[in-house]
Amino acid sequence: MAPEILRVEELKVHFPLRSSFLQGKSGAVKKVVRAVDGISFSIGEGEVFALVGESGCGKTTTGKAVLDLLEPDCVSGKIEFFGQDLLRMKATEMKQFRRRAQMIFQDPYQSLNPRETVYDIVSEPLAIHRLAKSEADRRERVAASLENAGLKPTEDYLDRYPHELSGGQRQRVAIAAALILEPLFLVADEPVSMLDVSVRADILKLMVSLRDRYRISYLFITHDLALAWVLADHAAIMYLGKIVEVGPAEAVIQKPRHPYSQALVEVMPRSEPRAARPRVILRGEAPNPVQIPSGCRFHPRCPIPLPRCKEDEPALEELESGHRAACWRL
Amino acid sequence: MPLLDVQDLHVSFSMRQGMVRAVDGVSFTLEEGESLGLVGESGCGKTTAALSLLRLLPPNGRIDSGKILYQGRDVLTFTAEELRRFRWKEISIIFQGAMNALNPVQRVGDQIAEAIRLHQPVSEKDAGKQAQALLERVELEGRRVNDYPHEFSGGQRQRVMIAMALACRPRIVIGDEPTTALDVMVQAQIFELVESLRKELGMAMILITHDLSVLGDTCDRAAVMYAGQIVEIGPIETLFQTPCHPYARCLLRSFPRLQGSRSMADSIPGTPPNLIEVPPGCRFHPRCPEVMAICSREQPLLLERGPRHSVACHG
Repeated sequence: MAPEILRVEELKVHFPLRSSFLQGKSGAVKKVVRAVDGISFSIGEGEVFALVGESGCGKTTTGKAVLDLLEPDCVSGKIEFFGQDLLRMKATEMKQFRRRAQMIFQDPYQSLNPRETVYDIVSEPLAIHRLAKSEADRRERVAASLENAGLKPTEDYLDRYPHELSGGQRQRVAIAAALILEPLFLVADEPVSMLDVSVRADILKLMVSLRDRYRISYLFITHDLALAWVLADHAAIMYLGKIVEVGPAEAVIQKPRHPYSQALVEVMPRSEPRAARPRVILRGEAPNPVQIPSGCRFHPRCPIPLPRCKEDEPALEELESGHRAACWRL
Repeated sequence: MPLLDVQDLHVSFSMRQGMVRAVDGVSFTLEEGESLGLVGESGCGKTTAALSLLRLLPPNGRIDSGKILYQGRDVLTFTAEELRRFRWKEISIIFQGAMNALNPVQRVGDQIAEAIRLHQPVSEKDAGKQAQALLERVELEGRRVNDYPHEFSGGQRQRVMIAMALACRPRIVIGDEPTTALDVMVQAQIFELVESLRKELGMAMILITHDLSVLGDTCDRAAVMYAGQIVEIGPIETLFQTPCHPYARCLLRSFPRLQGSRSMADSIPGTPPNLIEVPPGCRFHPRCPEVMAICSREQPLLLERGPRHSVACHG
């Protein structure tokens, strides 16, 4: 087992719902959005951990929480980075952490400042962390980072603006900016979903090669099980703020045990002609995280609910080594 | 006679940089009740080709030549009045972003009723009733005719768009990436709904997508487009099992599958050509893994390789 770099225990992110003036006056109970509602997982060195689920399940919020990008008041639980508690770090420790943990966003059209050149964008983290010894050193580091991100020859890119680049190239610039601080942990939030299929594989391969070369660990956030399948060592399926199944990607994706994971796997397009394969398509959409259903939060949409599912919430139970699911049927 | 017969369609856009030949000699047919997929990467001309069928191009777009025969009559010769009656009544379209396609300050019921009343001489009240029935048909509650678009979730809005596209019982529905930006589960729900409606109402369909793998659930045939042209067209089984054009093969491989190995396919090197100056010969030859000498000189013709299966490749 690779040494652990990130450990999350009972993480909760509850956002207060903005109430109207009158509700505030009348002293009505404040509603909260339970975006993440008690999840635990850990990521080993050089490991890709995929967090899979539909929109609104809390996967992006989890990604932001582990990078300390949320209002501290909303976050509770424990997040340990190399054994240090993120929620209790001193300012100097925090600065170190910010160097070592970076994020790649979904939309390279929005995450890059349109008025800065590639050089400006990629070198900015160096300025913030005062890492460049000289202008020459800065140039050298930017070039190395661009090269690492597969933008070669680097001088072709330095003075260009984001609008002069394709979607794939922009995402590489975002990756170069993340790499320049030599991070050990990257949160990649749907890094290829805005890109055309023919360039997706390049970006994913780049992520894997960086992992192999620098032992970078990833929290890979995606709604696409097929991407988790080709990339992840471990995978967790999230539903309405909870992890319902987690384990080695092989087990979770090829032999899912939770009815929700099973339904997600079944609806994946297959590049097969319309066969008469029976499949369960869940009705409706996930409920609002302000009013989470009682008991198992999946029970209103579950194709095979039991009476007790309405009352008791199932915990994650170990099925086989490292493969856990939360369902009363198991 | 096929329901729709598109012959040698050429469409261009005038841009600051020059003329962009977005669709460059596209021909295909669509039979009654049939479902055809148009697949390709962004910029391959699939949406332009589909919008041309309704003559709905943006102001800088122009249909330069070709024929669009609908039940034998050329849509390109229609008068404004004929076109008004033709659009939505004969061919309707489900747009990609439902939030942009719906009017945000009008109740959805009124929007659907308006579409009905443009084409049928019915009273406001009857049109309202029809709108309600249509919402129920797409598995939404009828009382939601009084809701505004922002009160629906993304998947529900796409259902409203489908209800609207069906309002006048068209013979052909065009789906322009109708499930992009929706979750997989909602995508499956939408495709299942579209399929059952299509069978029930006997409509033909043209589904535009960049994701070949979704066509398996919904299409009889598919056409793969590259740089403004169809490079392969055939039954969906053939395209999945034995695709002939190297681009079709590359595209199919680009989608990781749960059934497949965990290795990642190679991406297609290079980028699609800009359509102002297209490469000579086969447009795919600079990126083709199987390129031959002839490919940079002569443009391959779309030739029949099997029953209803045609490929444009020298290989």
